[in-house]
Amino acid sequence: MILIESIRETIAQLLSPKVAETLFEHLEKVYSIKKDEVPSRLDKLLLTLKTTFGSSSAQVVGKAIARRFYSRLGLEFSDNPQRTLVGYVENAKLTEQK
Amino acid sequence: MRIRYLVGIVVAVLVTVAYFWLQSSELLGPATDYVFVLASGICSILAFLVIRHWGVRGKVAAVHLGLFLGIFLWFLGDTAWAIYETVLQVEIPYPSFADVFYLLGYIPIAVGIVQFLWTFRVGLKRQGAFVALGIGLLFFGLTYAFLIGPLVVSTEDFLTKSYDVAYPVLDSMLVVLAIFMFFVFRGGKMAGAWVWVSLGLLLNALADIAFSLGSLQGWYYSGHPIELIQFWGYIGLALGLDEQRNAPMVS
Repeated sequence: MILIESIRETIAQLLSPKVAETLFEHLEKVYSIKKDEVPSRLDKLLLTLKTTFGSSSAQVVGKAIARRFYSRLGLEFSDNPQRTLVGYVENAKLTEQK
Repeated sequence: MRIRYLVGIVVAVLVTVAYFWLQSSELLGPATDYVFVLASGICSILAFLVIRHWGVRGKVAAVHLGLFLGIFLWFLGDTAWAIYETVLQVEIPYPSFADVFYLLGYIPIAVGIVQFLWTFRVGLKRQGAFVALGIGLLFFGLTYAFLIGPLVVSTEDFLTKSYDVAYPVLDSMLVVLAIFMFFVFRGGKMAGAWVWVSLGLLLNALADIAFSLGSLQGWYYSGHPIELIQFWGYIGLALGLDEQRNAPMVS
């Protein structure tokens, strides 16, 4: 839930609330991914952002989502240029388990 | 070919033919003045529809709002210019109150794009920055090469000379920003719209260099065919705005 909120808030702030709204509808319609399943299908979310806004923008948005997600979890965010949103989320899970 | 491009080409051809056809007519000045009012008015409406489509919140909305305000101010400038010429019978109202609107128009467009690019700056690659800045430098060079000589020998007052330089320089700045926007969205569905916006602003920059040169050397008159470059620029802007207006939020 924290990740979904981070995705929604970040996209609404960086792009537009309408984009955030439509994004979840699009994922459900095209990939049959319900809103609560998005955290386990982040690859499709990133693909959709890339197709619409280009890879550079998708990268920036992905990193901003990760930053917000880490902040919500109270984790320290360290920038890694090679890491995608999927990697950041995996890393957060591992850090939480420790 | 999409219908919008076909409409753009047809309008561009018709207005070009009309420009040459009316060259010896008394209607040339008023007709061409109001063609510009219509063109910038349509661009303003399209920019407003882009805002309606994408919403008024978020960083993208600030870009759209800036574009709308800027183009609307240019529309007011074109209207003021037309009123000067057709109602007040001022032959070439330059500089005039119309320039206040024209110059103010650059501010919201630049502010909107810059605040967006500031957030997305890390996504900009070096190659994109080189291309955008290279084209910007090319326009600065063109402005310098074409205008500096005539400016030195011109008898125009300081204010007019300042405007002669300000327009091409401000245009170059917007061209650079629009190309940056293209590179931010490169590879995505949004990039195409920014190619058109960039092209529109590029033609606008060329037109302003030509206009400044024409007024400095005294060969410009209202309805001169060089105005067509600016008109084609408006068509480029309209195509870009129409694409943004119809673009799916996500795809």
